[in-house]
Amino acid sequence: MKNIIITPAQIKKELFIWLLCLIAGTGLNIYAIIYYETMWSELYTQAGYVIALSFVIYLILWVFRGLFRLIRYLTKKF
Amino acid sequence: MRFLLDLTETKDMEIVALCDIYRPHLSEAIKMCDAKGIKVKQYLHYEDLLSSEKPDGVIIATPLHQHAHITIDCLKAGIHVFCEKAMARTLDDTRAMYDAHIETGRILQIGHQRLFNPVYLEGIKRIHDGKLGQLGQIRAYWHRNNDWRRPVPDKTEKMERFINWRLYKEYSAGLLTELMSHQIQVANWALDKTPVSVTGTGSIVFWKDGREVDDNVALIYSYDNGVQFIYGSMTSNKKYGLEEQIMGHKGTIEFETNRYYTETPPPAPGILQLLNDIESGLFEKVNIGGASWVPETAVKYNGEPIIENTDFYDTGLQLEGFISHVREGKAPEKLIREGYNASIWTLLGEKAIETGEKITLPEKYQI
Repeated sequence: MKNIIITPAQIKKELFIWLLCLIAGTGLNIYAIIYYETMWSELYTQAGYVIALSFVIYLILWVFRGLFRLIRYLTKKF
Repeated sequence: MRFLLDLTETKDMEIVALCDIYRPHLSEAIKMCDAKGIKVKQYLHYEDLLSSEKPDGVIIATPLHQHAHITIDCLKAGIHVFCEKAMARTLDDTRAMYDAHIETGRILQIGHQRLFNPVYLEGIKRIHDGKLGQLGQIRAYWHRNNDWRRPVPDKTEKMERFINWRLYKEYSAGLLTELMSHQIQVANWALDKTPVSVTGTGSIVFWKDGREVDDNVALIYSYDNGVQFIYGSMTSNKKYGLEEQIMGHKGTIEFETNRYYTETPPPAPGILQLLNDIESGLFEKVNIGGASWVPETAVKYNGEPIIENTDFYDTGLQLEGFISHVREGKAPEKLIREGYNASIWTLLGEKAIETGEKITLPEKYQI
């Protein structure tokens, strides 16, 4: 049995990536408010959707990062 | 009966006597009183009750064809009357009941409980305040999927007609007097008008079991401002249940479900619109051939409640109202006018179905 060790550095890195996703989600919310001419109060009233969206973006990124690592591993091995 | 018994606990009111010509129902009602510790006198015939008792008020919940003579006798005996809708089986009897109320000065309140329902009171206020804009149509329906029969203790023709009186034209106009009368009252109230004409059609399309009243009716009432009240009722499909839809150019009210819908619903939040557009762009099919138009199906918008707190029973509220009116010795004249006009126009609807003609109100029934 192999122990998986998550280091504080890794946690920090993941949190940083999620923070970027949250910023991206907020950016999309601002874009949507301007584009659809809705109310600026949606910056906080729609915060729940923005947080949920940030997790979706994070998950998508996680899949791409996994694929990238897999390709890198395979190219190194062969 | 249940609501009345509840009111004896909260209101300063006493049930003094019960009367029913059908002994099993009378016994059942006595049992309900006994269970609450209420002792009442019992009568089989209302004439005996009137000669022995002097109640302040009476509630008449007999089959329709018996409303008129009992009501008139009670009013003439100086008793205030609450009578179930519709008022009477015939136009003349309906007019006679109204005249007896005017002559005696006694209260005659008809069982249109929506007049006491807070959802309706608030909704009607909004309509009269112009919140719905110019009304165009009022649509109402009341659909059930059952035979509308009650079990008959023996199989005699006499007992069948006695118990299932709603199915025979001698005693009832069926769906019209038993259901529609409630909803045309709402239409008249919303418009603060009475119709100028009615056309209609009806048939027995499903329950071909010896009944005489239609199991399927459709009517259109017209008002002097051009608004129409469009009505349908059947007893072989209940998908749409019952509803009254008041439709103006600024909004719609659906009373039975306590909903108000504006014609200009607030837009969805920007972020949801954006996500929806992205999803549509990714997954929506592109029509290469076929229809080039979008079907104008109903707008998907849940609206908002007319009022928030709906923890009440309007049947109880109307009885509470009657008790208060009896105590005061008078009731708003609007109540009897609403009941009268709803009953008269219900019976004119029956006439329209029977004759196939457009029916207007004869002068002698105008109040």
